[in-house]
Amino acid sequence: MKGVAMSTEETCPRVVGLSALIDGETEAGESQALDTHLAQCPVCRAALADLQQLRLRWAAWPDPGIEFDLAPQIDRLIRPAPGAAGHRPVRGARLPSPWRWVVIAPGGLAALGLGLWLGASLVPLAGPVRGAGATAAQMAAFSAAPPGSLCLGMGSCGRVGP
Amino acid sequence: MVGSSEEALDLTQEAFMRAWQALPQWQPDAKFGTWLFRIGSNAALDLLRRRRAVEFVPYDGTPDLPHAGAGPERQVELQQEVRLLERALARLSPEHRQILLLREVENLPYEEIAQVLSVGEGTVKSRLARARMALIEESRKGLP
Repeated sequence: MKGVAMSTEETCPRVVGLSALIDGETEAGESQALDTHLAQCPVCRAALADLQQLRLRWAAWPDPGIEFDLAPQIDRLIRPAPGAAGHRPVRGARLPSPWRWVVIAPGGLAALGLGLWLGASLVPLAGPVRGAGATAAQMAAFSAAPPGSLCLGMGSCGRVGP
Repeated sequence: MVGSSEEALDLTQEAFMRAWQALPQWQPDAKFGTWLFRIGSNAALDLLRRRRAVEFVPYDGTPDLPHAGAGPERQVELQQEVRLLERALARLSPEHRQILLLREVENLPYEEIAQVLSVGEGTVKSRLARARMALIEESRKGLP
């Protein structure tokens, strides 16, 4: 009979049941059966009193807590030195080498393509060189005097036109 | 459990380190505290086995006075009771000491004690009862 261990053959004191009784860990029906038995068994009553007395003595047991924060010590112990075997940096984690190239290669190609496109838009790679037919107005941008500035004297202004 | 506050502190550190290393094996369906108790409990038993502790070293620290609000006479009485309990506890087997501390100091229910010790609840119930009776017996021996 599981739980309700109250057979007539059981010897007294019934310490297993009584011990569970003071813990409130008896199973269904066991507590009631024990109460009935206790009413007529002085041996079990004495054992229950001993268990209850022991419980009271445990109440005086001091708190086993420690008076300082253990966390920094444990943190230092579980965190190996950088570069040591088993070191697992949280930040700046590097991808395994095959996967690193999967990320790096498209990025490099994209950067190269963007550079070529920008360069081509500024300096056309094909077609006639425009310099030969450039007008004086177009070349004025390269004059020593910035566009719109006052010309103080002949020496300070470039000649524009023939 | 091991009878020395310094060793208990070392064991606490060791338990946390073991837990850190075993963290990938922790199953989320298991209560974390219970899992940690199991690691700590095993670490304590390992230490006792290592030093072949048949003899329990009395607690070397001076425990805080229990019930600080109690009068001086009562405090002395309580301290004496704690010392008697410690001495009696020291004469028990590590298994009995372990289960008593889990129940009486850590206040764990039978279900969690069963998980910590990897035994059935029925075993917890009977082992705890035997441990209590052994402690009562040892306490009587220590009385003047």
